[in-house]
Amino acid sequence: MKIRKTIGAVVTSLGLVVGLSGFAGATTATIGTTGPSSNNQITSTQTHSATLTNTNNLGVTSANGQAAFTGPAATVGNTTAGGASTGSASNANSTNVAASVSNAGSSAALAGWGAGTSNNTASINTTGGGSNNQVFFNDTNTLTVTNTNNVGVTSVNNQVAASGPALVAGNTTGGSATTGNASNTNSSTVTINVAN
Amino acid sequence: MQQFKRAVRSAILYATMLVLTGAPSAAVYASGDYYDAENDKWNNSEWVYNPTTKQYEAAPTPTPTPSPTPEQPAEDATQNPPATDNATDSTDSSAADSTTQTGPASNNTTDHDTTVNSDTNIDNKSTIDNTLDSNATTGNAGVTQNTYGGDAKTGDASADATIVSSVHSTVGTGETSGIAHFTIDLYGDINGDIVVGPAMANAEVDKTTNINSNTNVNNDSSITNNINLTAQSGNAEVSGNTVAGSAQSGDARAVANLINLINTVIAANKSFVGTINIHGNLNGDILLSPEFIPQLLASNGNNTTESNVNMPLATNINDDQTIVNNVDLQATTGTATVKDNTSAGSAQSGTAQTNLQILNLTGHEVDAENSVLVFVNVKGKWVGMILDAPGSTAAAFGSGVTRNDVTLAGTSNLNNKASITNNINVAAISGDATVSSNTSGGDAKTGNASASANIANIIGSKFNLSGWFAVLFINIDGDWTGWALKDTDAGNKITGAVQIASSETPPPPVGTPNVRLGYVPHVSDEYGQLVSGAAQSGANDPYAAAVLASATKNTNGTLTTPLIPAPSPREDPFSVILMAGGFGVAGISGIAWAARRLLELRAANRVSELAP
Repeated sequence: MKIRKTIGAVVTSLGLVVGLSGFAGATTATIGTTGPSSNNQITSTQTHSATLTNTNNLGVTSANGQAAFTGPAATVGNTTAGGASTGSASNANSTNVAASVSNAGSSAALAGWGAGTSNNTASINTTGGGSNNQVFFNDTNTLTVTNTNNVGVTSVNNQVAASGPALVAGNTTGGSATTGNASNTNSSTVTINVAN
Repeated sequence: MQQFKRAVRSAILYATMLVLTGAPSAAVYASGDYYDAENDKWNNSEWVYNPTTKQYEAAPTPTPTPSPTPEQPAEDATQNPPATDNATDSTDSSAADSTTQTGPASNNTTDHDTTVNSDTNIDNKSTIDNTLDSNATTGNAGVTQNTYGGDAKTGDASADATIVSSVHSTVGTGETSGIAHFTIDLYGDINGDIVVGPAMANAEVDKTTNINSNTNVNNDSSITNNINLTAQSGNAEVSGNTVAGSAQSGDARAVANLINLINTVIAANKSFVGTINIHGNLNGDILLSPEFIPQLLASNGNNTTESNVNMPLATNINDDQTIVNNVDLQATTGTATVKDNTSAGSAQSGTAQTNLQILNLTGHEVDAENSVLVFVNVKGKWVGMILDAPGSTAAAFGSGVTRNDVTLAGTSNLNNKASITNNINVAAISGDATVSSNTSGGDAKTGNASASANIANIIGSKFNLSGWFAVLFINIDGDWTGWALKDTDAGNKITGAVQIASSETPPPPVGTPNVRLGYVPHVSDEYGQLVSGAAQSGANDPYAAAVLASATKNTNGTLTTPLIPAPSPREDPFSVILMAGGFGVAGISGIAWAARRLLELRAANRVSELAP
């Protein structure tokens, strides 16, 4: 009996990229043609807070059970008889289990967040002498990313191969008693990949 | 009273008129209209009275309205008088702002404060639990209480396992990532070199993953392998017979191959894990295909460089690495007993051997072209060695090595907890062989028993290989005369030899090795096939040679499952003797009976003649 099994599980968090792009804010302000000794101020305060929480619980279980038995062979109580031979029993299993978690959106969001997401424009022009012209941009971006990845792969393989007994007994003339071979072959590859 | 009411009405009326006449003017004024005293007209921003045409016309395009009281001409900020104080503090490159044409003595300040607070907490917990229970048992064979009996022989039992576990590890780069793996089983004695050339142009396996390199990363990775392999051949018994043959129990063989990778980067163009099991003797070398390297180089023009590897090798790393190998290998041969026979042969027990190869690599960094991990298990006698690793049975080496040092480092605040636990129980037990209480009995012989485990544990290591990375397990049940990865005089390599191979179904299309054996033909049989040196043990036996040849390649040239032939009754000399003897006894008995009958008749006739 031969079994070849491939199991794969993939979790990908891509929607976060789209979500974060919506946080980009823009402020446009213009002050012009003010008199002398004017007090002109543009103040923009933007506070962005984002919390990304990716909790991935990924469990993959691969269970394989194989059993191969050959029956008994008996030559008993004959005057003249041949041999008793049992066949071979073999199991072969090839299992490939892969579990992958990718929080790609978190990484992309981090890159954009660090570079600043606001596009602010302010203009103060044509003011009189002695004016106090001030532009204040206060952008505060707070990003909290919490990725919790619990990935578990359990691979269970049980193989039993048994050839039956052979008996030559109680014969006047009997042959040989030969039992077959028994073999188990197992090849398993288990891979866990996590990208944040 | 009437006058008072009239006065109130008049007041309301005047007030209403005042609102109706005054409100529009107020509205116009409120919207920015202004009075042109020269022409006695009201103008606004849209319409202006033209005294020439004496009509209202559309106001000209707006121009900067002059400052109501500009004391100084407007100037650009870049041309501000020295008294102007311009301060800019910008950390936001995306912000565009301008403060221009401000008057003298202005205080112009631009302040951009961008604060990015990034708090990243990554907890990765990855566990792999592999449980394998493999039990291969062959039945008992008995020849008992017969007047004439043959042999009792039990089959071979074998249990093989190859397990590759990978956690947060990268093998290969780009399209060539992943590990191709194969297993080859070759039966019989082999005379010739074995050339392994992985044809892995389409390696399908697993994709690359970069290890986290951000702050506050906790990696908790564990691999637990619970492997139980048991191979047990049955008992063989020949007892209580008048005349009987031998008792022989089969061989028992169990092999566990494990590769565990945690946080390891193997940057190679091609990688494979191969297992070659030779169930017999090998006279020849095990080589890598000579066209292998050029083929790989042709298909992988890009040489991997260190910069392409994203590995968290920096500072402030906390590694907690644990490797526990609990390996229990047991090889037991059965008891061979010859007793209480009038006449019998000898008692011989097989060999018992255990072999454990463990290779632990932690925190290694290797820059090389190619690298190979080789594990060699030879149950019998090995005359040869591994290239560049004389005297070893397990080695890691590479070609073109430019650096090989140990580095324990990681990214900041990276806590790696990696543990590998291998609980391995491998048992190989051959059955008992008993020849007892026979008038005439043969030999009692028990099979060989071998239990092996090959384990590679690699944690936090880095292989920068421009060529290939390979892990090769070589298990040979018999004797081996030859080298690993070096062509010597051992064996006879024949160019263009046919491809034959394995007992199992052809290996997976991905990672299928090119296994070519060079053979020395010495027997021709009725199949017209090249009967190989694999039939050396039966070189003088055309029947055995033919069967073995058909086991490796049939008339169609396809691979078939090897056959372990059971002797046909017609081929069994003992059966032939019994048959001829039977006919002889029957013939003699018949002749004697006829002669006796004839004498009785003659005697009867004489008696009748003598009667009065």
